[in-house]
Amino acid sequence: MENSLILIIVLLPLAGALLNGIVAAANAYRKKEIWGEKISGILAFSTVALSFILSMYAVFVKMAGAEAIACTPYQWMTAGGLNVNITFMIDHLSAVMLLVVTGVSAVIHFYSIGYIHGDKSSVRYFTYLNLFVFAMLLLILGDSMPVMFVGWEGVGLCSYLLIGFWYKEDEKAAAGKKAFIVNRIGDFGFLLGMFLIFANVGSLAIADVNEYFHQHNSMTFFWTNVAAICLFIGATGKSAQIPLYVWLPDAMAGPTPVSALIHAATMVTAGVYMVCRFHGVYLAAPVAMQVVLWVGGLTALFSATIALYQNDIKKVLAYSTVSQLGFMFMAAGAGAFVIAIFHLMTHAFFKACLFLGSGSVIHAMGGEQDIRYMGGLKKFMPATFLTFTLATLAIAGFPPFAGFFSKDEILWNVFASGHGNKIVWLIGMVAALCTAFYMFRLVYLTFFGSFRGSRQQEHHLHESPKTMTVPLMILAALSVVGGWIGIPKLLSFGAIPNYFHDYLEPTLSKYGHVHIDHYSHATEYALMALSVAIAFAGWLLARMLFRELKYRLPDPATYTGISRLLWNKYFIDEIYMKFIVNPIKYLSTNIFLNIADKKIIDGAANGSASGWKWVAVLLSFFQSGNIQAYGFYMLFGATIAFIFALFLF
Amino acid sequence: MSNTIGDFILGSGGIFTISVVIILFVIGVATFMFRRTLLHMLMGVELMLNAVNLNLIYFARLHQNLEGQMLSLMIFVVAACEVAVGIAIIVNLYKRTGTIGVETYSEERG
Repeated sequence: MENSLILIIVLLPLAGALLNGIVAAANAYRKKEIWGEKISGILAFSTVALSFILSMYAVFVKMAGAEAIACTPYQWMTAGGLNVNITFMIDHLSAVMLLVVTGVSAVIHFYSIGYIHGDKSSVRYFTYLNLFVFAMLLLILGDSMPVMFVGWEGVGLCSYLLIGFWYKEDEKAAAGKKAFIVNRIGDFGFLLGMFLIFANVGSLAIADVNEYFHQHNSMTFFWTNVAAICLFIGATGKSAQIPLYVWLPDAMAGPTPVSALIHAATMVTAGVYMVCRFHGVYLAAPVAMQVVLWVGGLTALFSATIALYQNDIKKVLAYSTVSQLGFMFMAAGAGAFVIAIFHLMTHAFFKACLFLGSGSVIHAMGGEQDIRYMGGLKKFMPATFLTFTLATLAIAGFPPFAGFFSKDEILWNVFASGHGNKIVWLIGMVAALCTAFYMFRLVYLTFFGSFRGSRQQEHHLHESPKTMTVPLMILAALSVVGGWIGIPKLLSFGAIPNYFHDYLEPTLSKYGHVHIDHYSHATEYALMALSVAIAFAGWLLARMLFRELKYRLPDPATYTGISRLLWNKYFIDEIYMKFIVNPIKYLSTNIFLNIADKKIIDGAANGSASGWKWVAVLLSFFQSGNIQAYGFYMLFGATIAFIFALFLF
Repeated sequence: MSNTIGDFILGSGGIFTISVVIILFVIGVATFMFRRTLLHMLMGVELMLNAVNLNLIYFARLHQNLEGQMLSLMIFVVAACEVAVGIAIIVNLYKRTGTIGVETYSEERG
């Protein structure tokens, strides 16, 4: 088979998952360990790391100069005109995703070895983690919609399993369930989009679909947009956008490396990747593009404002993730798919670093996640502090850190692109300001000032082991330099080529260019300066308020007005509870359970049973026990049969 | 000699044989249905079987092939077995209850 290397990349994590899974099951069955956390952790890490190395080989050596390489190990199904192959394809877009996913996964697997140390079900943990990487690779490399969908569902499943990893606590199990159900709603949209596309295109291969929408689109304007919006609904579920973002903050119940890997760096970006993958469809659907742009912009601002008032270190980061995903969708909606993927990559670096840093902090605090009880951790955990700060600078958009280049490019494209919009640009600017503010608030409250926790916690404070700090350093380094491969021409005066742009542009502009309005260089510089100024403003504001915390942070229960609204996350969960969850529950219990199920279905089953019972009572009259009567019946029946045979045939 | 009888039977257009078969069968059925002892009922069954045998043999002769005759031989064997088993059961029933009246045995009433 050609390029079977790709197959190995995909199957390595699966092999790790199977091996660890069997051992986890056997451990549970025999109640003693065949192998424990150490071996399973190393196994899980090495499969993913090997996958990463092979990916690099595939991308930089095998694919050098080529547009794409593919491998078809199996023909999945053939039915009439439908022909679905399991094809794994690496083109420039999936190559970037492949490297980001396997690379970040490898780092986080390594971190997990230190983090999960001492947990009784660590083998199970590594099984899920490896399975996740496998599903993610299916999603990225799958060349047709069904294969992508299998990966899509697979990552959802692993996300559910890992959020509810400590399933003995009700709250965490419920968070897992919530994530799963909300994702299902999105997946339904994806499925509908897929059906709609198949009904019109007649093929599910991604290249065919894009080509169809680009070249010979015979769908009406309305249905084209509906198809694209259906796909985007899938993306809002997976990538936590309005209105389906509610699961992501709750998903922080999972282990912190999981939050870093699945709920920051990789899985939640699947929606962005999907929109970029189907850019042919979206470019043909201008209304859907506007929807993506606006939803992205509103989500970015909405969740950034919520993050301003959160006190749970992971919740802040969760809302920040939702907000950053909003930025990515803004870019995609403005037609700047390259920039969306660029921000996806830089975000994967700095957000993974932030999450792992928060994991390190939580580890040191003995499970405490509330930043009101932290403070002054700088001197206890210098490595964590340094890396966390670097990542914060990156996400806030300080030059020359990674986030600056990608975020600035997004805002510029939203401002200037033909699909863009000045209002959304303004929204994005405000969201960027909030981002800088809440991130530095987090840093100051966590690492500066004096320690506000209990004496016991203070005694326990320590820097995390090497297995945890080394990944932090790697990711922090990437958050610093990660953006340098995509420096805009304008900034380097053409001296440094924009590698990232040049690499992705051919793949992502195959189906038409997006018109960029012409503005003078001065405008561009001014906007760039403005976004830097905004980052500084957010930082200074946070510094002023939280640098040396002289007062106790108020109890959230005493909040009033807007702060109460933000602390309670705009009461969205309550609104959903009241207007969606409870009515459905009511409908389920009172109509579907008590009437449809208990009365109609059970009634039909029980009714037919008792009906036949009465028929049997009547028929038992014939069973008289008299042999000669039986003889008579037989004769009678035979006569009837005889008459039938004689006269009817 | 045999030819003359055979010629008569075939020559009569089958009326004779078929009549014998029907009469035998009806006697068998009537015996089975109206006699009150198990032994007689068994005999009725045997009569019916023999009517069938006769029928088979006649048609085998008519169509000039042996399959009917082979089948009737099989039926002989089955009938013999059936009689052996049937009589054994009847004897045992008689030993247990002292009667072979068919109305005694109605435990199977539903």
